[in-house]
Amino acid sequence: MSALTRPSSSAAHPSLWFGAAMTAIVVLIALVSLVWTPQDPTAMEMTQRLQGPSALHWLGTDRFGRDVLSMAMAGAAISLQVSFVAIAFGMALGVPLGLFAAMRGGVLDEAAMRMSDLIFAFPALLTAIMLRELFGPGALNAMIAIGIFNVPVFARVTYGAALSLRTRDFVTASRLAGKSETLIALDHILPNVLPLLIVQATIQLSLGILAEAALSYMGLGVQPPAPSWGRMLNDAQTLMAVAPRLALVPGLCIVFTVLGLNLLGDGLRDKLDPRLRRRQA
Amino acid sequence: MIRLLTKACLALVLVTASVAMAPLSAAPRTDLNVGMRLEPPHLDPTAGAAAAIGEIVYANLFEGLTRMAADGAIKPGLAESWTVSPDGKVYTFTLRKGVTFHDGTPFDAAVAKFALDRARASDSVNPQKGLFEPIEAVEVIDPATLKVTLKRPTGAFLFNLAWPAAVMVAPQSAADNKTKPIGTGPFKLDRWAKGSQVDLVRHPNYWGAKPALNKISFKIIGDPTAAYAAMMAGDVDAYPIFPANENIPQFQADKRFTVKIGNTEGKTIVAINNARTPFDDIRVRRALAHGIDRKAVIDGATMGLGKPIGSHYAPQDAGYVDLTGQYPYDPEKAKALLKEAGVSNLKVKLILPPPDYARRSGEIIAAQLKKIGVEAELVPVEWAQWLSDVFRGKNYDLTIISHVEPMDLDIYARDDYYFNYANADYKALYAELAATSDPEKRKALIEKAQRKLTDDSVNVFMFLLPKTGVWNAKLEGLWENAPLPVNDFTAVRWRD
Repeated sequence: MSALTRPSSSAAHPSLWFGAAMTAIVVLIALVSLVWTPQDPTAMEMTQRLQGPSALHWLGTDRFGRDVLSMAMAGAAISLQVSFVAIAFGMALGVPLGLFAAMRGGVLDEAAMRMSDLIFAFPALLTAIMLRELFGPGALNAMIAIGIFNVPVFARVTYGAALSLRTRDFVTASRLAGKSETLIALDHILPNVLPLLIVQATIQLSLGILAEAALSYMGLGVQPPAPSWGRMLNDAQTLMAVAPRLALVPGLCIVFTVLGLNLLGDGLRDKLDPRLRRRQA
Repeated sequence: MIRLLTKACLALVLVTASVAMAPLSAAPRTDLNVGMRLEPPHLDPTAGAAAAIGEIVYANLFEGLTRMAADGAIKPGLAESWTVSPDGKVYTFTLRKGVTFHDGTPFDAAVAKFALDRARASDSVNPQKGLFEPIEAVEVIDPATLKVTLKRPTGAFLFNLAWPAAVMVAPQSAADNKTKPIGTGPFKLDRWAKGSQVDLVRHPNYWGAKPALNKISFKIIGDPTAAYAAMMAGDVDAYPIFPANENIPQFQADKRFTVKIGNTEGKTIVAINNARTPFDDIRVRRALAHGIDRKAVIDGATMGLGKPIGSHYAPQDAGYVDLTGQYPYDPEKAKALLKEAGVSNLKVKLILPPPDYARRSGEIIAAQLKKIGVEAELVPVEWAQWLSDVFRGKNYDLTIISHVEPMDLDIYARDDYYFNYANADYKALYAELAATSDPEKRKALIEKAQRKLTDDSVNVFMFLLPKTGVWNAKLEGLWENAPLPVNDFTAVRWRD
């Protein structure tokens, strides 16, 4: 994928700007939905069931007469929220883990990384189902499930980069100057890993959006009445012949958001990834 | 060249196949794939209340002394005839001869006595013990004659004997019927693949007319989308009750399918835990009734196909009285009632079993309750969990469920039922009803019982579950209505 979208020169990053613009639109809509939506996204009006687009309901209404546009807007907020918290959770645990393993080396390093492999091999969906059995379905469990899945991702990125940085001259120099390993990690390694992490986080956010949609589609994510794209898709399924629009709207929302984040991630990588930067220079 | 050869081979195979298939396709099919929304917890109708049990085994695998026909009429079953004494208290049944269970055990009056005594014993786990309560004594006159003496004349006695819970079971096999059901019916259990399907095959030594079908597979597919796909792909031939009403117009427009919208006895209610604060306060229960817009629930959850009910009684049954107007939708009144009861910021859990009607009604009802200041958290649960937590454990605030047994006013008089209603007046009223045999007086009492349940707002009575039957247009003999929650497939056959 990256080979297709990577620009030939480092000066132009069309995918970066496209991605940033698309993401900004989604974030803006999500923020707006927190304070205003055209209608109350949870308000049902049975006499207005399954209406087509109109001046009152720009994207029509669903089976319970709820305003689809308002639901899609509120769904954006929930999707981003779940995904963002989950990725933050994954970074908060994964980055220190990767740093620690890279700096310490030895048995603990092995143990930590094998442990993260183990989690990595465990699909987020299974984790979510397990959490549901333990605590019941809900947004928080979706966040935790997606978050756990992200821990090894960030641990690996950090670990790989930190490992190669650890033997570089400037690190050896600070070590000779008597700096503690912790300070070296924070002052020298982390800032150099950061661009990689930002790129990775953007990609993970888009995967998080997809995972959140999949979980709510299966009824494991946010619970009604809170609207979510995944559940809108599920609800629309039996109505495909009557009102395909009900599936199209959340479907396009997911595609738009995920595409935007992916383009942004790609563009950011071209700009920030030191390895690519060097090669292009 | 190779492609040409492949094409030629393919054509040859197709031609051969169609020639080989030709004689087969002339004979009508003898297998039937039935779609079911819920999986039964086990297969013993004398030991479990889940309707899914009877929906598989009744008439197909197990038979009773009497049986119910598609129109609700009571027909001879394992009793070929009977006489009733002039005082209405003694029933003498002449049993069919030459009837054997699937394991070869002969059926006779001694077995029938065992089955009835087992069902009415004090330690019986029969889900409908009340059906057998009028029985005073069961006697074997000779192997083909059974005498049942009642405590009082009971007009519904032959009807009671036709219920799934009253089927005949043999002493040797009764204990294992949950997993290895042994009945006298034309079909026996072939296999039960837990979580996916139950297969019945024809019992070769059946006493009666040989059914047209050789094999019935009950496939458990509750997800509406999967159900629709299964019907369209022909993986399922018939859904006695299709899970999603919004697909009905599509089936109606498709010549491959027959669609019959009939009645069930399924009184769909918001069950209230009457023992739990604040629902022990009648004002709170009435507030719920005023706070739920029945019409909106019916429109949104059943696509308008459900019939409104105002009490725990189906409109097509004798003695029905329309009480749907007693608690008109009135959020203001509901709020006032809650305030009067001193309840504010009420947070409840609304437990939703898997069927579509429950999950969708739940979403609508939660939104409606929010308007009267009641925060209902939706808790979707699996069927087995619902049965154990709510039905047996009585651990719930509110739940949505359809009670599919006909005229089951008795459940409100039970001591240990999950509504926790425990009302002495109602118990007395029901006891009087049970002891009354005069049809006119019974009707009056049935009316009174309905009114009492509505007055007390024991549960929120919503709608009668529609029987949205969808099946292959080449099938004949399926029931249009469901006077009992059963699927009698003994007369079902494929047209040529």
